[in-house]
Amino acid sequence: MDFIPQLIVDALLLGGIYTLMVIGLALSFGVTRVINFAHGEAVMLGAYGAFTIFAALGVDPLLAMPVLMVAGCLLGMLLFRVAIAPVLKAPHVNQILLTFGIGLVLQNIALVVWSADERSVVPAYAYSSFEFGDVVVSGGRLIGFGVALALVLALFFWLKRTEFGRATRALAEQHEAAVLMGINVNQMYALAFGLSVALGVATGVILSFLGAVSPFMGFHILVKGFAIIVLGGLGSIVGAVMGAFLLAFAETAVSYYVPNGTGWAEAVAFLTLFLVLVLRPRGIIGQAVAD
Amino acid sequence: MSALLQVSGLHAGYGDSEVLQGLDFDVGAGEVVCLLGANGVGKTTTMGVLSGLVPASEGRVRYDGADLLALPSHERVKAGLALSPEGRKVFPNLTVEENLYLGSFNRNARAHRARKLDEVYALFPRLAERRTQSAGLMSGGEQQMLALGRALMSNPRMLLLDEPSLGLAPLVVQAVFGAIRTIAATNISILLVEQNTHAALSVAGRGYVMAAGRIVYSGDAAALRQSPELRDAFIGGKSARDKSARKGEALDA
Amino acid sequence: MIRSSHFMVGLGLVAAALLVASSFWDEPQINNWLFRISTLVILATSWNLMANAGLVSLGHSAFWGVGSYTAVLAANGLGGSVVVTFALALLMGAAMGALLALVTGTLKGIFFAIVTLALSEGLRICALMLPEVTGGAVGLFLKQELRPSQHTLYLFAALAAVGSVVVATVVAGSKLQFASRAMRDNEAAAQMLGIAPRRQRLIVVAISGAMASGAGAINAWYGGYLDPDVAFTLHNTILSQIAPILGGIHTIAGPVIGAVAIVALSEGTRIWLGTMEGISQLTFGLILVVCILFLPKGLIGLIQGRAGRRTARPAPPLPLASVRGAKP
Repeated sequence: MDFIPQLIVDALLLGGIYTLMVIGLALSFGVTRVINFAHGEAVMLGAYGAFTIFAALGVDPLLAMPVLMVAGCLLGMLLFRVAIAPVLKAPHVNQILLTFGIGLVLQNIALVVWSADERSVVPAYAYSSFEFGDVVVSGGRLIGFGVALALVLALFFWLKRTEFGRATRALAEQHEAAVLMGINVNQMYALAFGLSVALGVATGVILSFLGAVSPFMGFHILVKGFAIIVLGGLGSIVGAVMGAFLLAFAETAVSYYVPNGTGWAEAVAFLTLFLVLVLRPRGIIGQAVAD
Repeated sequence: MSALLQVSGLHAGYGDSEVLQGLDFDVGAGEVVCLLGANGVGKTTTMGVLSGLVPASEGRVRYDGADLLALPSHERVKAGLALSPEGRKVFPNLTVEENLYLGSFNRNARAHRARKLDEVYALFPRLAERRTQSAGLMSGGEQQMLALGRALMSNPRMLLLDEPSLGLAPLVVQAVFGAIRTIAATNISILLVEQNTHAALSVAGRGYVMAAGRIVYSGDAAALRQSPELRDAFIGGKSARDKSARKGEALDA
Repeated sequence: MIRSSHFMVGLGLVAAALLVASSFWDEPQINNWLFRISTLVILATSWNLMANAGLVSLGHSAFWGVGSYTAVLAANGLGGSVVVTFALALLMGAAMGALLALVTGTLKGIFFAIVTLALSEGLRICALMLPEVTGGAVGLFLKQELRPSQHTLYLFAALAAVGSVVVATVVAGSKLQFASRAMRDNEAAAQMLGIAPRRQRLIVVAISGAMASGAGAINAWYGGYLDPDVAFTLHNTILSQIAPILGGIHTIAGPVIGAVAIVALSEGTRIWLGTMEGISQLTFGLILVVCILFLPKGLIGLIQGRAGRRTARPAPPLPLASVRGAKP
């Protein structure tokens, strides 16, 4: 089939964006052990942030991205302090419902502020495209992929090479020992949560020029995000990257080969979740299902 | 003599069960003191309270003249109090060197990082050889060395060592205690919790015997070796616990 | 303790009688409220049953939607009556619950939540992509000539609501409840006590699934129209969890009180704040957050807290105290 190269390129580009989409989710869960059911809403708000700045000031989303990320990080830290920290030791039920409720609040604030109308941001590069032989690449996707890749690499660098990044990994591995290292756990939790929100916001900024922005986009993103991190092993950041590309390939393949495939591609995430649970009930990477 | 660490009337526990029932002891500057006793008398709980992992319900702990219990865990490390925990608790997927770097996470220690790293590598050449290896892949003895080294990296004034001999072969225990002796010679105070009485008394100048959450005997190393209380603490641990199980009856310091 | 539980049962019986009797009261607006309260009582009780076993469902709309489609398809295709299709929906819901319990094995907490969330979304997409069966985005109408009077449906819904609470009460008095609590608190300890978590859990999830599916079926008869977005709307998932949380999670009366409060509240916001999009869900989200942070035991906890202070008598120890003590 001569669209295989196209399929591979499409899947890779999508996988890069998925990686950015879930890496924050994996980061905050790995460190705090609270899964953030409002992560999709961080993405959604990032997209609206980009839209609003573009519509009001005509500023390119990519230029607005750093500002939006910083704002997202600060808001995330604040949210953590106010709402998540009090339930860190509460039963799972409370943690799940709390973050779910926060997502609901954010989604409907967006609905009230921006209405249900779908919005989009159209910088010049959104409609450009390049041809490499048989393969056609949309400029927006290419740029989105590039930015996502840069951010993911930056996160890995931060985790590997910086004082706080190292402390973050330590905290994810051995909570008690991390305390003994003199790491201020609450501060690190808030930082990890803030960073996770910032990464979600960045994803939203990229998505703002790749498709429609709506208050409900966060929910679909959340389901996909879960499929990806379950696939890769909950809490494992490297696993999340693998899961992102696996899902991207599966979805792209479905949309190419299955009749009516673009619609069915949306169900791949759901199917993946079930398959992982049936075939590998303990998750692909062991720690996944411990509690 | 003014003690660096002074514990008085300390009570602590988990939920309804009170493990420490009026604990009193002290450690002077530059001293090596051991806390001996059978399983379950509250030695590890004591370490937990001192490092801030376990909250105290009653009593006072003064460290360097200040109220230690008022400080959060991370501030205690900054103030020079470092714990090498029971079971070592190294970060398994981080490299040896990353583990050591984490030891000097606090801002006061970061300035001394390079010097401390040299010291630790000089003390444990094994760690230098394996600096890029994942800590989880090392042997128990090597992990114990890493845990000790990691605690040293915080540039401590006082080390809390919880069962450094746990699960180690006799030869390895000797090596680890050799290192502890070297550390003690650098004027760092050490509070050592051990079940291996023999090893502990080989480095400690004096010690305390614990039973059922309190001190039942104290003395210098020579006296401890002879003391029937020490033998009782291990053999008759159960009856000693029952005897002093009544609450709120602290021994005088 | 005994006296107060007798009192609660009596109160419940009176409330049930009133609920059923009121469906004969010919006042469309009030009947509509009562209908919504009844279906929500079923949905919330169903959610609470799972929560009792430590399973957080974020996809109760999946059961609701399957029940709705079962009812409409069975009615249109086979000419089934309300009762027959309702029974079919119960069966479908139970089967789906059992399947879900099998697939999720002994996973609990976040995993179960994630799977249920994905389940409802996955089913919505499937319904959308299989127009031959479901009518796709165009939707399905229940044949008008089959539909009974709205009155009959009020009565049916009220009876079903009472039935769901009775089931919950029976479960609460059975070994299943003990097993559920043990699973919620400590699965390993539950196993030591000889409780087979997998089997008990399968039963709980099946019962709960049947209930939610049944509620969906009744609602489909009432509404007469279905499309994937209506059937699998996130709104039902939210309602199913917020009612027990507001009323009092892990209690029998909690979901009922919560259901009444939620319907009153959503009518209230509609009247005071208009039908502006997002406002009612925004309120729900805020309630959820505020309840979890400040009122984790819900309205019931508030009431009992008062009563407890007045009588100043400590609550009797849970039968599970022994399990807690067994923890190493």
